[in-house]
Amino acid sequence: MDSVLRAAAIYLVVLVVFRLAGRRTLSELTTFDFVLLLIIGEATQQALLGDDFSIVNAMVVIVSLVVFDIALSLLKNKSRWLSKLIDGEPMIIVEHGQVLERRIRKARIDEGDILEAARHSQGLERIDQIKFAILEKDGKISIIPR
Amino acid sequence: MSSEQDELSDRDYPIQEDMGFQEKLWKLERAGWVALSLVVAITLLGVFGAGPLSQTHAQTPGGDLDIRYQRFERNGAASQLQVKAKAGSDGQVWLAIDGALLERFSVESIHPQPLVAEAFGNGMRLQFQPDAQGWATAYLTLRPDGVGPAKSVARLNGQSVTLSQFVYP
Repeated sequence: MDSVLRAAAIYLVVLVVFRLAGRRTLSELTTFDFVLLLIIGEATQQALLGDDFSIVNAMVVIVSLVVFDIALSLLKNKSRWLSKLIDGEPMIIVEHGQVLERRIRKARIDEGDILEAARHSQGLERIDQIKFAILEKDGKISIIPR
Repeated sequence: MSSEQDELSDRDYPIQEDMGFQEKLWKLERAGWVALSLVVAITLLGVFGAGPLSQTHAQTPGGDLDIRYQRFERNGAASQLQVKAKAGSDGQVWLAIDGALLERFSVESIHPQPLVAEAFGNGMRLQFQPDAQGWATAYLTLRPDGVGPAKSVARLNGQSVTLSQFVYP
């Protein structure tokens, strides 16, 4: 029983913290972000397992986490509101070569990030070559050239 | 040029937006950052154990017994408890403890080792060798095993103190 409650608590904490951190925070992984993720995993591990290192406990924890994840995905399918709350929605940040300043400021990205995405995916050089840039749910920027 | 107001309006091509909801999410996000910062702040203050708000002490009315302990404990995390006790009329220090201290915590070590440790009522009684001034100081290492509020009682020379602690999961 303990293991399921532990898994539920950790699942909830991780969900809330990462949601609050925003979609940009850990989506474009730098080396530092990657190490940070490892450390977060390390800190979580002890609380998840406690002092019970049995195979049954590990199995129960893994199964619980996966079950919660499946349940959440089903709920998100049922409720569009919940899905928007947890995953967010895509948002247009460049429209016909015009950067929507207020939006990117709120989303904590800058023109450099958009240009980087434009170079990566389309080989574009300037903002005015972009028809639409869209900040996707996972924090990546997709570019539609003119 | 796109004005601030225009940026708030929903686009429906190439994707359908809901900027009203997005604005609410941003507000929620900002409120969440404040909440996360508060968690860090109250942790530094010791609300989750080991800090100025957690460190406390309890004393008998006569001052014969003074116990320094943590008000907030975390399940499975060791902490220290310091006992300062004055010898009774027989020149010995007899410290009796019972309640949560024994039921909800495992006492991992007692330094210095008591001369005698024996059953006493619902709890146990420890005898320590006092120094030349008639005082004995002992350090107990505790590890909580269980969560929730925990009340313990310590007795010395006919007086008692109550220790109220809270163990976080």
